[in-house]
Order: sequence, then C-alpha cells, then structure tokens
Amino acid sequence: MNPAPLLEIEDLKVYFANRDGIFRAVDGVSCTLDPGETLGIVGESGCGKSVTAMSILRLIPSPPSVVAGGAIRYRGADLLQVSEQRMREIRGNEISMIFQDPMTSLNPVLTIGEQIAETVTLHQKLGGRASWDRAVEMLQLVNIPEPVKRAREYPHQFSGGMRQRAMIALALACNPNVLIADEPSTALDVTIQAQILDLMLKLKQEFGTAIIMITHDLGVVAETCARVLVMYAGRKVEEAPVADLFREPLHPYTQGLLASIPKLHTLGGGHPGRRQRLAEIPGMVPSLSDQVQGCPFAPRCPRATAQCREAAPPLEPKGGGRMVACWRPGVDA
Amino acid sequence: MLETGGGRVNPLLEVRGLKKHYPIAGGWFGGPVKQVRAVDGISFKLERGRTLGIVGESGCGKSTAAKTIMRLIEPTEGQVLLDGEDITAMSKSAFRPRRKDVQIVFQDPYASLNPRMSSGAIVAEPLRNFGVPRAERERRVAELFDRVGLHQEARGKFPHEFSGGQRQRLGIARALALSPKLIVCDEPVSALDVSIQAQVINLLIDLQDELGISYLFVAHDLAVVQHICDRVAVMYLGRIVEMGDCDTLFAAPRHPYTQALLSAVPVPDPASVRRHIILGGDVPSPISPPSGCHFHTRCPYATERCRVESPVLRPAGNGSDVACHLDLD
Amino acid sequence: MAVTLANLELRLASSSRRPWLGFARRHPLLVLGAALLLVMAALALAAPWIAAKDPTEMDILHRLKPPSAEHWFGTDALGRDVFSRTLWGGRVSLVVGISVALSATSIGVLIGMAAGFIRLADTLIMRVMDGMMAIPGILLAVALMTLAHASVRTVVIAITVPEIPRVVRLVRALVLIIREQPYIQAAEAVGTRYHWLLLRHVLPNIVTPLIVQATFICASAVIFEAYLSFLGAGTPPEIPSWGNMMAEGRAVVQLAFHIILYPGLFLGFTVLSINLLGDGLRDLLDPRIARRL
Repeated sequence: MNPAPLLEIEDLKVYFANRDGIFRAVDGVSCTLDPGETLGIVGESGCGKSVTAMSILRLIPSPPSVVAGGAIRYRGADLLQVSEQRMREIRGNEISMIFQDPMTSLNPVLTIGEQIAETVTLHQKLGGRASWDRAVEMLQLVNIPEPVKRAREYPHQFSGGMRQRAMIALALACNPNVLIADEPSTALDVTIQAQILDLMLKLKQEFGTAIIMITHDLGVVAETCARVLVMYAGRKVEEAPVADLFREPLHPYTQGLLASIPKLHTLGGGHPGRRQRLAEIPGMVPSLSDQVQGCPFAPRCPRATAQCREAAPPLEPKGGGRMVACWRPGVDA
Repeated sequence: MLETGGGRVNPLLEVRGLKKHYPIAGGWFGGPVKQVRAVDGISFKLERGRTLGIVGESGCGKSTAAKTIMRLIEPTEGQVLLDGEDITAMSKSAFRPRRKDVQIVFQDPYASLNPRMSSGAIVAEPLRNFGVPRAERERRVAELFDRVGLHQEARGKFPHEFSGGQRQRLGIARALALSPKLIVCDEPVSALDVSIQAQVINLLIDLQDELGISYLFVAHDLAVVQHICDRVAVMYLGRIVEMGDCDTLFAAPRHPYTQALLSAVPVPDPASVRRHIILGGDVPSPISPPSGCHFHTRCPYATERCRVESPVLRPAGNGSDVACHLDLD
Repeated sequence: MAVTLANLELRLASSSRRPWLGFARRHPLLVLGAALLLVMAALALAAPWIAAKDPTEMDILHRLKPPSAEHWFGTDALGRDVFSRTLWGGRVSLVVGISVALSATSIGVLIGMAAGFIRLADTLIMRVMDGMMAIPGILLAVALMTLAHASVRTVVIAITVPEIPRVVRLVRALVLIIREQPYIQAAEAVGTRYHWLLLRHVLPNIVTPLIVQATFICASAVIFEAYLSFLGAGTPPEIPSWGNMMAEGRAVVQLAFHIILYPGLFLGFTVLSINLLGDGLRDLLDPRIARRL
C-alpha cells in the first residue's frame, strides 16, 4: 500500500546572502512525494515555497544563494550532490517544471513546435521528424486546436491560456515522473484557470505523474491536491490530507488564513457575512533576515505564550498523516 | 434593494452610454484603420454610500471604464454625471476642482507611489494642489495616517521602505485626503498577500461606514466582490452583460457568462462538489470582437440570433438586468 | 571555491567591518576610474604650481629636445616645455568635458521632456534631432566653429550641439516609460498641474540614468575637443591643448616622438578613467547589483 516515496526533501535549508544580511528563505523543510500523488505547497509571498521547488531542480544561482543544509533524495540519489550532467538529464525528462508567467517562460524566437521537439530530441534521442511528430502529439493532448498549424507558430501568437498549455505540453513531453507547477494559474483569468487545472488533472490521471502544486490560492489547493503543506517564514508549519486541513486546521496560521479569505457563496439565501469585517491576521510576515527565536508566527498569533516566544516548536505528527509545528495546536489548547 | 428615500435624490454617479475606443494606426499614412473597443457603451447608477462592483476578466474593459469615468482617460462617447452634473462635457480646467469628489486607489501598490517622494509628501500632495496652507496640511496628513493605521514616524520614509499592505494604505490615505464622495478602487487588493487583503478590505469597509463614501469596486476576485459590494456589474469585452443586486446575482446568475464565471472560481472547500462549466476557447480580442453578442463564440447556448444581433441590457424579472436573447433560469 | 554558508558569512562580516574594502571589491571599476580621474584632475589643477616652466615660453635654441632632467617631457618644435604644456592642456580638456556634459544634459533634458510629454512637439523635435544626428558630429562642430571666433567657449558650444540629440533620445524614452506609471496617473487624479508633475514626479526619476549618460558625454567631449584641435578647428593655437600639441608633433614624429606621446597618453588615461567611472556608476546605481555581496 505504501510505495517508496519518489522524492524526499530532508531538512532543506537554503539561504541568500547580500549586503543587508543573510536571508533564511528555506529554514529546515522536509516532505515526501509519493508516485502519482498531488502535493500542494501553500503559503504567502516570502514563505519559501518557490525556493523550495526551484531547489529540487537546482535552478537557483549560487551565489547569492547557498544550500546550508539538508538533502533532496530522488531515486536514492541526493539531487543537491549529483553532478550537473546528471541534473541536466533529470530536468525536463524525469522532473519537469512549469512556471507562473507563460509569457516569459517560453523562448520568443523559437516556434512552439521547435521548443517541444528540442526537449524530446535531447532526452529521448529521437530524430528530427520523430520529435516534431511528438511535439504535435503533445499539443493535441493539451487541447490546442489545429496543432499542426500551431506548432509552427511563435509564443507571441498564442494567448495566455494557450501558452500555459504549451508549457504543460513541453513539460510533459518526455513523460516525467514529477511535475512541479509553480503558481501555474495565478496569472490567468479565472475561466482559463479552470481550463488549465482541469487539463492538469486529466493528464495526471492519464500519465500517472506526481504533481507538486505551489500556490497561494487555497481554492486551487482544495480542488486539485490530495495532501497539503503550509509554509510560513521558510518553515513548514502544518501538513495534512486536504480534507482534514480545511475541515479542521490545527495551526493558528492556517486557521487565520482560512478565516480571512472571503468565501464565495453561490447557493441562494445571500451571503451571511457580507460587509462584516473579515477575521484579520494582524501584523506582517517577519523579515527573513532576523534570527528568530521561538516560533516565527508568535508575534501575530492570538494564542502565543511565553513558551512560544522562547522556543520554536518542532513538527509533531498527529496521526492520519497530519503534522503541526505548534505548542498549542487545535481549536483550543 | 435600492434606497430612494422620501424625495427624489440624484444618484451620486450616473454613467450613460460610456464608450472608449482606441484607434489603431495602420494603412497608408498611419491613419486609423481599426478600433480597440475597450469600453463599448456601458450605463449604470451608483447611489450615495453604496458600493458597485465591476467584475470581468482581462480585456473586458473594467479598468479602462473606471479610469474613463474619472477622466484619467478621456471618453470617446457618453456621459458621466457626478451629483447630477455632467463632468464629461467640461473642459479639463473646469473639471479640475471637481477632482476633489472622485479619487482612485490603484492596483499596484508599488508603482502607484512615486519612489522619490516621502510618504508624507505623497499624502500631502492633493492638499497642496488645492491650496491648503501648510499647518493645516500637516494636521490633516497626521489625521489620515492615523485613520489608515500607519505610524506617524513613517511620514518621512520612502515607499520602498514599506510593505505591500502598508503601501496600499498610503494609497488609500492619499485618496481620502480631499474627502471625496466616490472612490474608484481599481483592483485594490489583487496584488496583496491573502492575509493582508483581509486587512485592507476591512479598512475599506470601516471607512465607508464612517465616512459614507461610495465605492466603484473593480475586481476580478468574485469572492471579494461579493463580500464588499451591494450591486455588481459583470463586463465582457467592453459591455455589461449582467447587473444587479449582489445577493441575487450570485445566487441566481442569468447570463451564461456569469454562470460560467461563478462556477470557475476555485472554492477553498474540498467537500463542496460543484459543476464546473468549462468554457471553450479563449477570451476574444477587443480589436475585432465577435459579431452580435460578443459572447456567442464561447456560449454553450448560442443560437443563430446570438450571432447576428447584439442583445440589449434589460430587466430579467428578478431585479437584475441581463443582456441575453435567451430566457435562462 | 565552493559556495558555502561559512564563506558568505565571512564575506558579509568583512564587508561590514571595513566597508571601504567591501565597496572596492564590489565596484572595482568605479574605484579605479574615480582614482585615476582624480589623479588626472589633480595634475591639471595643480599645473601652475607643478609645471615650473611657462607653457608658452619659446626657446628656439633648445627645440625638439628629448626628455631630460630640465624638461621632463622634452621640448616641442618651438622649444616649449612639453610637460607644462601637457598639464595645462589637461585643464582645457577637463573644462571642455565638464562644461559640455553639463550643458548638453540640461538642454537635452528640457527638450526631451517636451518631446516626451507633448505629442505634437514630439514629432517635430525628433525629426530635428534625427537631422542633427545624421550629420557627423565632427563636421557639425567644425561648421559651428567657422561661424565664430575660436576660443574655449566656442569649442564648448560647438561640441555641445552634436551631443544634445543623444540626451534628448534618452530623456524622451525615459519620459515615455514614466508617463505610463500609475504614480503619474495618481498625481493627475489628485489635481497635480503639469509643471509640478514634471518637476517633482518625472525629473527625480530620470536623474539616475542621466548621470551615467553625462559621464559618457564628458568622455566623448574630451576626445572631440582633441579631434577639433588636431584639425586646427578647435582651441586657438596659443592655448595648449592635447589636440593641437599632437597636431604640431605630427610633422616631426620621427625626430621627436615624445611630443605626441605624452599628450596622447594623458588623453587616453583621462578618457579611460571617465569611462570607467561611468560604467562603475551605472552598476552602483542599479539596485540589483548594488546590493550584491
């Protein structure tokens, strides 16, 4: 029942250094990804979710970044230690990534077909004609109409939604085991977003790809993920199966986040809380350069005690695949 | 639904047939060949102290409409009446004093503040423009900072020293400086983190309760719009396709586009099972919009008539106005 | 050396302990350029005191002498001391360079802002600028020089005019970008009038690239002046200038190479230092590069 995890991130620490100090972007994050599963990493800006994802593929230039600790195990090997040669074999082939802004993630001077064919040629060693056919096949798979004609077009001739689909086609062309999606639908209109997410889930079913979905939108998480990680100030503060997280969030940050989002009410009877004040989380996200003593959320937490301010709580398993880093988790402690 | 009170009172804002077309140069000698019909004839009313939301996706013209209403962009056609007075007919210099009544909060908290001006100076600028003497300016700026929840010491700081949420508060303070009757909010929380959005939304609600300001709230986030607005107008390719009371519209949308829009919003509740109406195709470009009803290319119910004839916004029986040929439930 | 946390912490600590060292390591070109320029400027300014000999004093008996203890850089065709002439020539170059940079920039800013803001003026102004840029700068400068009596002031004017279009293009491009920024619309929304908008919102935000551009104009002007003087269309012959020194030295290059060498070297170093300064400033003022460790 429990297959070996595909990807294991162990206590990852990634810091950035510039003249203003050392920024602890990721400060000890661990998680696992099983084959075929969809894992969500959710958090606000500066929480370290994108840095975590980009570190898996070693896409962050170093300096100014430095991996200050931890390991990322993929099929037994630590990705942070393997050679650049091996990383090149993995990128696009075994682990793929799609990014937030489809406009800047595609090369404007190459046709879409060329870009997809390039990755196929590189990794699967297919010849010119065969890679091109594969490219057209992928475009068809992602529901781009007239794929043969479109493959010869340039990114600027595609709309935002179509570019994102082209990116998905590019990422899945070599049938990778893991797809990392970094805010794939944030820049898109809501109706296009629905199309893209729908497409991603369909493809996942067909190919059995595991997906790491990084987003700040809890609605997207609820609709696409099986398991969720909540990050705050570079650390993981809660992890749970998605239904449990929304039904009964344990960490005060998760609770605060869920309480502060206006919810769309579409089932008649009006919106009970309309024009009431939303539950706020006071204060701001802490600056990553401060050396934090104690729980990083303590300054904003309604339940913080002296203990919370002195010592950072460890991640405690709570059964059923749940984990929380809090001295006083739950509804009332 | 709408309060009218005892006597006949002018709505604060009335927009009639507003259009904004941008000519695209082309052809010989760069003469205009095509038009971008960014705003293609919209009309609505906004009462005092109320909030009207304008929603739609990119390219629908909502931001352009908002800026055209306050003459940051000059309208091509149509009228805007502020307190009964036609502000579109005035010359720019005659309009200038009226700017005090309608202010704007922008989407991008970073780009809407001059990086080389201190925050105190930014908030004081509107007062300075209208001849408020220095001592009074200082007092008013201090008051505004308090009202939006910023520290007095921050007055000397520059925008880059503030966080996103604080910058947006600065923008709101600047908009309040001249005690406007109407504030146009152009996606005021879209660029903010989720937990900060709640803070700013609460601030806007508090200010409306305290000061009785009306809001024209342009946004693409339907949940936020539902939370803060009294009435909503849904725009598609420069036209309003449905408009009505917030509760009614969200509970029982009549226009197919509104239905699709509402169904597409991801809801943070894995237990809710909703039917996703996935619209085919992409949003057409405002340069050459489809003939007849602009939405017919993506509409699951489109008929021949929809392709040829443009529907007019008319009452749909439940209090909303809908622009659709079909009678939908 | 592998990037580790320990290394970065060390660099951070050392840069905060001795900020100047950190600064120099991060901006080597800027420091080098500034230092070199300071040396050249100091030499030029101190000319009256360092150069013992009168640069215009002729001594026909000792013409074309190679460098010696008496004449550090030798003498020229009329027996004048090359060392003092070189130093005095530096003054001309620096005065011309700085004056041109300042005037071209200020005039260019005014015209550029007008072009950026007023659509009708834009077309007219840019066509005029295009016309000016189509004429090679040297020819334009020479033509202007023929209209007036030769002096350092006319040289400054003659060089400023061809440099103006460069500034105008830059300023206009910047203004066009800034005009679309929300903070400009915000200022309009609160009733700000045009002149205040330009002064308080536009101008402070174009200063940074302008400073960099001004240093490059200075370097260009220094070379320009040397060209003009070399061609005989620049500084009048009584005033020593690197350009006319090199022109005079051309005839006797085989006998007395030093007459061209020293002014040439000084010219080269001065222009190099100004360019390094410009490059360094550009990096310094770019917020991303400036905060690098």
